[in-house]
Amino acid sequence: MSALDPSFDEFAAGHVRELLRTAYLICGSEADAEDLVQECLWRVARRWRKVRSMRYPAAYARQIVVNLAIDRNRKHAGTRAFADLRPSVSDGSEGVAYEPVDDRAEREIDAVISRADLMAALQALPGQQRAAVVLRYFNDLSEADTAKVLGCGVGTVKSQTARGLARMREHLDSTADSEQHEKLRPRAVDHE
Amino acid sequence: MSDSFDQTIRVGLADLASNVTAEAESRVLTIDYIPQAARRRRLRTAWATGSAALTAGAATTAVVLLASAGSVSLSPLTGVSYSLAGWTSIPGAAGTPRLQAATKSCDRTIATFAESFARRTSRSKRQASGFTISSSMIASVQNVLTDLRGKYVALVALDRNAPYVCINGDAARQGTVTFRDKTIPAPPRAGQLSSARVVHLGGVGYVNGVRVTGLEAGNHAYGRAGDGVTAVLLGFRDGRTVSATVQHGWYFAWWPWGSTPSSIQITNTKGTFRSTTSCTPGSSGCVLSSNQTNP
Repeated sequence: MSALDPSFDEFAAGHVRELLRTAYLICGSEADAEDLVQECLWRVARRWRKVRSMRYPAAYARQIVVNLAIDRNRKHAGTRAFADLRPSVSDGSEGVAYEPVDDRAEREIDAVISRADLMAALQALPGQQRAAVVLRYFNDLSEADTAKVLGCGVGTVKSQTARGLARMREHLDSTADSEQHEKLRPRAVDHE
Repeated sequence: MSDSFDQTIRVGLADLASNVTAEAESRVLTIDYIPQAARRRRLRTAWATGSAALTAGAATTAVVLLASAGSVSLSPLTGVSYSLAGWTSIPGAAGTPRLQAATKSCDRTIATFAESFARRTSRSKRQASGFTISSSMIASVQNVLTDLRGKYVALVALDRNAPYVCINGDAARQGTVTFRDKTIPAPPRAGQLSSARVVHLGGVGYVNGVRVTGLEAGNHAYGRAGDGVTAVLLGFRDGRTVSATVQHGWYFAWWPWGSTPSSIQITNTKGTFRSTTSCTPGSSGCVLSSNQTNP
């Protein structure tokens, strides 16, 4: 880190975790979160003399990260589709019946799925709704503070958060329904 | 909306956020945040009108960004292009598992690159451009240099005709940039360096066969190092420096910004020597030469 001002190092070390986690939840990728937080710390370092005299330097840094994350999602909206391009694994996988080894394994699998589903539900939200949900329910900010970070009114935060939660619930419910449906479907088993 | 659902989301987000590893925190904190350094957002280099006589022809090059199997993100070498998290200006040492993973990924990428190139290009064009990759050539590729910067492992490899450069991101991203040059530079005299090929990491790339643009992220430079060269330091106009890795008669460095080095410092058995450089444009990059006679 910078040897120019130890107080900046202290600030960065004290807040990097929260910044990374906030960025990760909004952009959905740890790697992107690292880039965003690094960019954020660059910006803070550049203005450190001014930033450290602020009442809440951490809030300033958080605002930068959230804005960068929203911008990034907007800019990469077109390229995000590439993330879904994965090698097909369907060949040969049909006809394989999966049986959990025991209940514990089943529980672990459920836990993994639900975590992935939650992230999918979060990432399905539009940028500002996602940021509002993360700031309210992860960073535990008040509606007024969330409004300051997002640069909008408290009413907008309320409506964005409510819509965001409703959409997440819908997403999670539909996922649960399809999983239930999947479980009820006869498994393809090689009888030969 | 029920309170219990609110609570579920609260707990769920905290749980999700715990996916971010302590290593990620360390990587972000190891960066040199130098507020005084004016970062250059302009990614295209303003080429110096070099006074040096350059011998290397404009080699046909290609820069390909490929997502490895299971890749989930295009971002490793896009995104915030001049500040890749975790990159370090001084190379370090990689553990064996990381190297093996990077090597495997690069081998796969080179093979995919070759196949992709073959699909997209007719035989005559391949021959005209110097790309005549075959499976036997891929099998004969040998790694000559390994460069580690934070979580990024770069490999310089050689087949019979040309060097490859492959830069591999961390396991979570599996982002890989692969470059293949047309010719192998001639070995320099003892204690000296050959001209370096400086290549843009980006421009146009292919991700799983889909053409994408705007991937500029930085540059890499590589060349041959004569016997006795122990260290190479690249200097930039804004004061930043990047130490190159020197191994098995090759040197290599990459950096996540768009400018080319303005000076080069060589340490050999006779001492340390510094000279200014100029870079003459070629396809995908430029050829970097010292403006003074090597020590």
